[in-house]
Amino acid sequence: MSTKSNRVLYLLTFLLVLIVLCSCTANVSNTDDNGLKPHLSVDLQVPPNIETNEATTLTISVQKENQPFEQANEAQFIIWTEENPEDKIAIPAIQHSPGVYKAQYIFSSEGLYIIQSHVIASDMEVFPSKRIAIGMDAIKHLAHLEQQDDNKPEAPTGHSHH
Amino acid sequence: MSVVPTERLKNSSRIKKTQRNANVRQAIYQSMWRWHFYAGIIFAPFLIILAFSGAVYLFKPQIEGYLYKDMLTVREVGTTPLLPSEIIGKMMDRYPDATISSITLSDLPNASDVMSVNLNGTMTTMYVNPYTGDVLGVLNSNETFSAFFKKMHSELVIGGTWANRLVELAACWGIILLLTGLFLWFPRNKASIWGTILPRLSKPGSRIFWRDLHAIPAFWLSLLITLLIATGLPWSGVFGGQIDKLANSTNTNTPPYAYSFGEKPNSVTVAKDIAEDLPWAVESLPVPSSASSGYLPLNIDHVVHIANNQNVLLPYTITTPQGETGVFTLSTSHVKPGNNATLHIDQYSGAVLTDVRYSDYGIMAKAISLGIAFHEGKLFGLANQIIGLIACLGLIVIAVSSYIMWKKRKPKAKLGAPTQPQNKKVTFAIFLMMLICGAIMPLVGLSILVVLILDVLIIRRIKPLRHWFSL
Repeated sequence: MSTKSNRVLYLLTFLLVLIVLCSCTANVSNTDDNGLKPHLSVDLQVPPNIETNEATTLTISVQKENQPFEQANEAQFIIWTEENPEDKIAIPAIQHSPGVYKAQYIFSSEGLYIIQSHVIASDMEVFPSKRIAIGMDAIKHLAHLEQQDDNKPEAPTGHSHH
Repeated sequence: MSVVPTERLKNSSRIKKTQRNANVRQAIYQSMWRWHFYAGIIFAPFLIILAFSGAVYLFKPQIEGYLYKDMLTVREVGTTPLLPSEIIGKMMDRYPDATISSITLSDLPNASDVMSVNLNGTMTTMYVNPYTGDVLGVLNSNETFSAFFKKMHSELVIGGTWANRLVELAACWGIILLLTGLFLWFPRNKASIWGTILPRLSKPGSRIFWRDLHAIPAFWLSLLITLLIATGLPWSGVFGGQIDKLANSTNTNTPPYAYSFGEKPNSVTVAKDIAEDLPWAVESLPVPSSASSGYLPLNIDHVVHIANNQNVLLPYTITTPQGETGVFTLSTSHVKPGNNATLHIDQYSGAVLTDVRYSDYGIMAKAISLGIAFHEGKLFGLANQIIGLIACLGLIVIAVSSYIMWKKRKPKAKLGAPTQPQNKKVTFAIFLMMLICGAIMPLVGLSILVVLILDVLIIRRIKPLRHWFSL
């Protein structure tokens, strides 16, 4: 009788200690080997040699933990010109193969554009962007901007607006 | 017949035993006093500096609120604050060479936004009206009122690692002073309320007056001062490192990347190399019809968007990425622990790479955060500040009264240290106890060894010194 109740007592104490210990330790359950939590990684692809007035395919492939990410609720490309950031065009993207979202766009004139891909899932989202220069002047402008950025690597804030 | 001598023998041995016990007790007392005396004489000045600077720093919110009122608050509260990118843009228009390293957004409508800005090589704190973007004031970050007292409190104004170690040493010896002091305070004969828990102040200036002014506040404040030293030690270089190790080995520390000032992950989105991307720029190749750049860093407003989506509550600080592989860091700056959040965000894609909240902390990290908030007087408002102030003022009274006590007792040609007890065993036992303390607090151990070497090599070999130290 007493050994039985003792055993129950031991078990309860053991459980209690276990619960306390579990709630005491740092919570790292949801992170990978590098200590990062599950996140989306992106590859935004812009084709080379874009011509104006021809359909251009913009592609973003999204992965989560090295697996294609198919669960995006929404995927779109947002395009605006360097000179006129207020004037944005959004084009919905369609999933062509697992984790690869594509859209087509026709650039009507030469110039320096910014394209941003926006992928939204239930609890995560990404919005990587790149500049695209079409035409000689824009390419020169881009080269100039890239050099500036290279000289001043730690001023990434809001400069696309100025 | 045989009864009487045995009784007598027993009696006499009992008397001898009591006598010996009393001698041992006296020797222990003497030895404790000696340790207390030397530790006190060396570290009291440092403890006074710590108490004074701590007392001032405790009231940083009130004092800075008064000193920098026009910078910290906005006179006319607008309807909608500007976006951070607009605020930064306006600042950059005014200071084209500036590099911003962080911006802190407040949760109060009349508080200004605070930016950390590198202006021509000088780190400055810039206060900005969130509604107009006007710069309300610029301070050199190292020369603010609180920066001065903070430096005094952690590096004795002179600064550097050595000064910081000295502060840690004084704090650790503070604990030993409290322990030995409590032993000396503990009533040896009949306990009386006066002189034990209430001071005898009827004869101002007498030795009893100063003794009670020393020992009684020390007794009352001993727990509080111990708590303040203990909550300050996690900051310290050596002992703090040990605490960190202990927390890590028991898995009760914070998860990795828990702080904005600690180690950061790298952005996972790979920035393209420009030379690779624009080969025609360096070589004379035909220029293509189009070109694209590498990934662009996020606009800072996106980080605010992420903060909203991830339930990070204002006030928080956004730290901009350092270099091409850096990350945006979003960290809360609440006064009280509990809502702490630190997120590291890929600077190109906006992916949240790490997200550590207070609830993810292990128990030691939680305890340390609470302790630090208590130490800084932030855990429960004004009452917390006043408790801290009482401890600081008390510590100053304790240190000053001890100095006067010593002055009153000190002979002219000698230091006036309590003499070493004759009982070698007791001396050695107490020394061992101190070494154990030294093993727990490495700097204490190191300082004991240094003094021991000085003692053996120099002081004991020079007669006047020996006399002065009453060895």
